[in-house]
Amino acid sequence: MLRVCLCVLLLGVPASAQVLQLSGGSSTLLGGTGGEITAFFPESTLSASAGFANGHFVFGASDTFKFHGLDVTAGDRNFGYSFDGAGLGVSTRGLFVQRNTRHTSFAVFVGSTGIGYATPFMVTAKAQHIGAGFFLQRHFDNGLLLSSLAVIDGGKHTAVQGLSYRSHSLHLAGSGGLLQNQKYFTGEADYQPLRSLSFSATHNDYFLAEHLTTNSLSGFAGLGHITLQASLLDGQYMLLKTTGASAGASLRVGSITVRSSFYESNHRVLLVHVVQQHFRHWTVSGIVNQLQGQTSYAFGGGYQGNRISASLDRSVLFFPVGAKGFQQTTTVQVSLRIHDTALNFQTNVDPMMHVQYTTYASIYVQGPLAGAAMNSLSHSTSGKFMIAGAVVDEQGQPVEGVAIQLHGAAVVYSDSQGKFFARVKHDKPVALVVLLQEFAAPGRWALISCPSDAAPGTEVLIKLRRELAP
Amino acid sequence: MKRVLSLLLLQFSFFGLVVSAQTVSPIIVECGKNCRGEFSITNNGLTPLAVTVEARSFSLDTLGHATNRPLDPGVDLKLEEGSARISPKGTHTFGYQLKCSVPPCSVALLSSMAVGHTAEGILVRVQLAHTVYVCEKQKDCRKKVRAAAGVTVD
Repeated sequence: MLRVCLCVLLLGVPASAQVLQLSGGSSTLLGGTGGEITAFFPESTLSASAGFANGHFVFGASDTFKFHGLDVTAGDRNFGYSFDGAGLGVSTRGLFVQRNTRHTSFAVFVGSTGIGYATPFMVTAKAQHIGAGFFLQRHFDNGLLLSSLAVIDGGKHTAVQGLSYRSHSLHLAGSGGLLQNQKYFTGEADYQPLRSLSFSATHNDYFLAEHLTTNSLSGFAGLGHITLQASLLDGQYMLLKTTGASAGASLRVGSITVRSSFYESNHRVLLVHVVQQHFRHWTVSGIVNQLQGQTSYAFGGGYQGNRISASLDRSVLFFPVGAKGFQQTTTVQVSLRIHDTALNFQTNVDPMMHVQYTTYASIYVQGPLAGAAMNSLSHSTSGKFMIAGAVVDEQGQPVEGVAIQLHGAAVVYSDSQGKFFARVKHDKPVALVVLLQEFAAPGRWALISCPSDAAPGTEVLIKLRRELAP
Repeated sequence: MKRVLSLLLLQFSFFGLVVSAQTVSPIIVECGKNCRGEFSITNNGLTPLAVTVEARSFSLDTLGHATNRPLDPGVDLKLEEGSARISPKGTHTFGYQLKCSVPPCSVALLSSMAVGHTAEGILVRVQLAHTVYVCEKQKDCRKKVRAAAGVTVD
């Protein structure tokens, strides 16, 4: 009954919401397919998710709001914190309360815990055990940071203490205790005596199906355009020990970077040489790999723009699981933004070297309470020809925030001097329209005069009249 | 059912002004004589945001306070875009080329945007500055400009 009522509530409130966010996606990496609807109100956020995870129908809902200075969530959310090398995330269904001040953060939850799915497009939880949790973090002015985490997740208990210290050149961090019924310790030390010289040592325990331990020791030095780095790595998983060493140097001249790296693990030596050039929007890489006497070539690169970004990257990662040592991975990522819709696609490589993908989209829809929000018009301009102009009122005073659409979907706004410009690809006149409903300027305005088109290289003058409120 | 009704009442009992911070990055850059750069404005709000960009030359007093003025004649600025509409939770990058015939030059690229209304209905606008220091050589350019202005405070 409660589920039905929640569904009715969640379907009903969007009609009065300020802004709605609709998301949907699928991921083999996260093992789920589904969607989420989030309704944003001025002082609260209501969310509902549903989908399939590992072949099972899953759902989730939450309401987040302020209450006497506290951030309260009723419903499903992730109780996850990491500090000083320790970390724990638990899917919860219940009541969650948190408060953050300048020096102190605290959070507490009571309810149930279980398997949950937290993805960019769906957040669900399954009530399996009674659970409760507490997190407290306190910053001190002398650089000390004290953290405490306590969680009861059915029969699994966590009680971890962390302490870290940060000064100008030194960062020390350590944590220990009980993490899901297992004894646990981790430590990290970073020393940076100079801006261009640093050393780091870490020890970590991960709790997968079996106990996994990793240690690392690394150093970095920068000498003008040259950087040097070296590291030693060691990992153990299911009694299999893996060691690795890496060293590298890079040289940057202008927009070109040349980098050579050496990787050694399990008596295998891998040499990777990369030449990379950065442009305003583009990055292009050429890669030469040398492994066991064999040479291979690869290319990578990416484009970064306001509407679209895409990249193809190859990198070398250390995989202690399965004694794999250093492995090369390929990542492809594409992000698109069309009006208020964001589309994302990404491939990932998991520690078992399987290629996984994640794809999702989200859109913002302005509700009736959002006020005079602008329509979803394209506003991108590019090209070598420029159309410029000015917007004035009846007295010849500049008008700021006037939206002007040029044929080809480019929309521009006038600045505080009333001036605007747009770049177009072709040297020919384009149609010009003043969008009275799209103004970023306050008040109501009427058009007195505006040319029907504008040619590159000429100045356009637009005249407006301010209308009195009815 | 009572719990659902409580949620519903709680939902509609909190109404007010949503205020979200907008951000600019980077805040300061140092350049050599011919400068090609970019800065990004992030709309952390839930509604689209119209942003206009204007350039000003500025000088500093001994306390480090800036005084803006129209672009100096020796400054040649080519902005890729003078305005943009940034979608909710989106980021827009503005590219530019800046040449300074008589270095050093100090230029502020001011991004103006309307971010909401007060309870009295007054429009709230903010201006975020991306500051560019141009010298013969990039290294320590800001430091040199501040030293030349006699700025004594950090």
